[in-house]
Amino acid sequence: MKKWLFPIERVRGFEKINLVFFPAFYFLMFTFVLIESYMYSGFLREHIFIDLRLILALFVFSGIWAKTSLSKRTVTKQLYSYYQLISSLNKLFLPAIIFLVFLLFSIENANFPGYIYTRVLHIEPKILFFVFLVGVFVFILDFDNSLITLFKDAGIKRIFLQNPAYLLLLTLIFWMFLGNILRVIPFVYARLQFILKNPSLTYDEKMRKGWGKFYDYMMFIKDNTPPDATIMHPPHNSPWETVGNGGLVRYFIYPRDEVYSFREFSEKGNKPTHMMIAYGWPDFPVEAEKIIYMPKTATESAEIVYGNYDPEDPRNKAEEVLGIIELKEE
Amino acid sequence: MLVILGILGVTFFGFLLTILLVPKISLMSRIALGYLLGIGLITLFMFLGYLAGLRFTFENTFHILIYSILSLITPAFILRKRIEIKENFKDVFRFFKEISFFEKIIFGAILFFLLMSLVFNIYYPVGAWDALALYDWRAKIFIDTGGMEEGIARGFFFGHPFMTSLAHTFVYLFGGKNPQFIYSLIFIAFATLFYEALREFTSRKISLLITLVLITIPGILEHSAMAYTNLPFTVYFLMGTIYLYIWMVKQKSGYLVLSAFLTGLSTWIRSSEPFWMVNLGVLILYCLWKRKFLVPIFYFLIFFPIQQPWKIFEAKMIGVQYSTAGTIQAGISIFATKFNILRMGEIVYYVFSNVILPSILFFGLFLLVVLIQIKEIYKEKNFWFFIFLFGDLFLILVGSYMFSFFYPEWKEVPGSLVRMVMFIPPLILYYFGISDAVKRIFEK
Repeated sequence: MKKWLFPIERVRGFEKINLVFFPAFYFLMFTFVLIESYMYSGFLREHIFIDLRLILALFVFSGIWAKTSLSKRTVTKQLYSYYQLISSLNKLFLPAIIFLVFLLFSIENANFPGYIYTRVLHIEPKILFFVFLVGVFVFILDFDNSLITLFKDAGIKRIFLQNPAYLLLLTLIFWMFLGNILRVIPFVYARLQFILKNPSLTYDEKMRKGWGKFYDYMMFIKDNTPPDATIMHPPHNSPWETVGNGGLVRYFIYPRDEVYSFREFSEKGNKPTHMMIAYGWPDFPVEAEKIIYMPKTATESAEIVYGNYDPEDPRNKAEEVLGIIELKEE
Repeated sequence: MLVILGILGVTFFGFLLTILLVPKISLMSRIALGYLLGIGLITLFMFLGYLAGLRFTFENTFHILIYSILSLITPAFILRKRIEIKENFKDVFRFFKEISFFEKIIFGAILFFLLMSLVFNIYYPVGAWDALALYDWRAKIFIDTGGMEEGIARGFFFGHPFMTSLAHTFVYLFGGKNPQFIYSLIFIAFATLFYEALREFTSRKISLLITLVLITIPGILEHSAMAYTNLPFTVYFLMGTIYLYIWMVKQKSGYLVLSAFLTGLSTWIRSSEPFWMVNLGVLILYCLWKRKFLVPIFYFLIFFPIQQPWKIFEAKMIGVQYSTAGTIQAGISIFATKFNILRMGEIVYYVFSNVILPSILFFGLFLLVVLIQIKEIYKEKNFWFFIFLFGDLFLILVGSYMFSFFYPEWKEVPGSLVRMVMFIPPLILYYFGISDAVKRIFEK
């Protein structure tokens, strides 16, 4: 117990400031994260000109420095009690924080990005994830030495306690690792959660999840054209990024051939036999045998219209209209 | 079931090859290398077989696999004493017995991410944009027609070599429905080999830690769960570079051979970015320095037979400018006739924004390590590593400069550049892992 009776006055300069400041920084960090999470991403950068990630990096640096100071120096019992307090509080709340963060991520993933922020709590879960990181970091710093065996096991040498360059090196790698984890955990979590929720989806269902209506449209074309058909598609620009991409379309409609709009022949030399109707294209009249419109829902059946295609027809002017034109043979 | 046997066969072929090539490596490395070499070479044999008249059918592919294995069985049996199976197994058990609690946590985390990649790839079908538009599309054509005439007739069929497309084809021919798991196996092999390569210089603890950082690099992990060529290229090229580096520093000849094979096979995955030139260039420099004049010839004898078939085929199909000589000639002619200092300035900024800036932490780490051990900068271990890194960065600059003349919209495709240089962060990470600075922190 005698150890704690030595005065902090022995520690000088920035090291002393850091030692005194860090417990407050711990609470401040939570406050910053909660403010940013409640307001919006980038709020702190806009108002106090410091990015939250930079504050986190400073926090990590300050934490490692405080830890090294505590292991080298002797401090007053009162100051040490602050470190014990934040360690205890951290351990008390960490399981709850972990649970909360993962719960919010689950709800967000089950709905849509921004669901929690706009509909439930007005809190951005991705930013709240920093609370989890702060908690884990302080847990690892282990100010009350309950994890000391783990550190002993790791065998981290004292050099990083003595040379600031090594401390910076450790901080940098930790920051990098943290940045990576921040990105990969949501990626892994979202995918894993989807798999656990939908373990037995068919190929079609999975592709539909990935490609949405585009996939249904491609299957519609396959179902409504012969295998030797050559399909003309819109140009490859907005709003036809997918249906206008010949490389992509051909994968789904194979063995049917595809040809870019206004080309007389496909790469293979085939003349177009069919033409897509997609999001306002074609915007010119087309001589057709028949037009098949894709049903809007799975329960409806396709509408077939015999005769030419007229872009002025209200049916063809509808924004979401998709279909296929069977061209008149010359 | 059949597809599992097929992949095991491919790995066994590569495993036998490693017995001939490398005397002393761990069992895990041998299996990982077995898979990488196996899948790379068998797909190359499928391609060569096709050029010789063999269609892409199950029977032909099965025969290629069986004959490849049989051709190696006898020499591998003769050289079997090179691998001490019993010792190798003991090493694996020793690893699990000796690792500390801290290392177990790190190892568990590594396993978790590797397993996740595999789970994702078994569940999700091939669905990424380029994979559908080219890589899996070509496999679909190979399976459906047994050849590539139909694909060539339909256009946009070249651009990248056939390695991943033929790997997909292999899986489909052996009854598999979803070939995406091959990317997870490449990823697992990568983690294993990277760890083992770190172990050549540093402790188990540091190697495990750095491997964990490697597999959690978002770009790497995300690419392990999609059927793109960037991760396979990164794995083959990076391990080719690292093995060459190990050979230069430690003079273990097996690594030189492995480097030649892996660098060669990297050009069988992506051939448009000639990073292999850096490996060859550094090797030549090193051998001139050390007066080992026969070594580059030996390296070329392995590298070029792997690299050239595709280049010759591509040049024949879409133009002579795609041949190795054509590319070099075009580069020289651009620098000789069109050198523009302003354009070069733009390129430097472009490369800085899209290569250095996204990996700024890695470069920061690199700089810090260099500063910490500034006095040891001329040590062979550090010096040759710098040459590799600066060689790659120089090639990125020169390549981007050339590309800007061929492709006027060059500024609009920064994503491709970012994916293309995916191997740079792991390369720096490797240097970081083996540096004395890190050793001083962690090792007793």
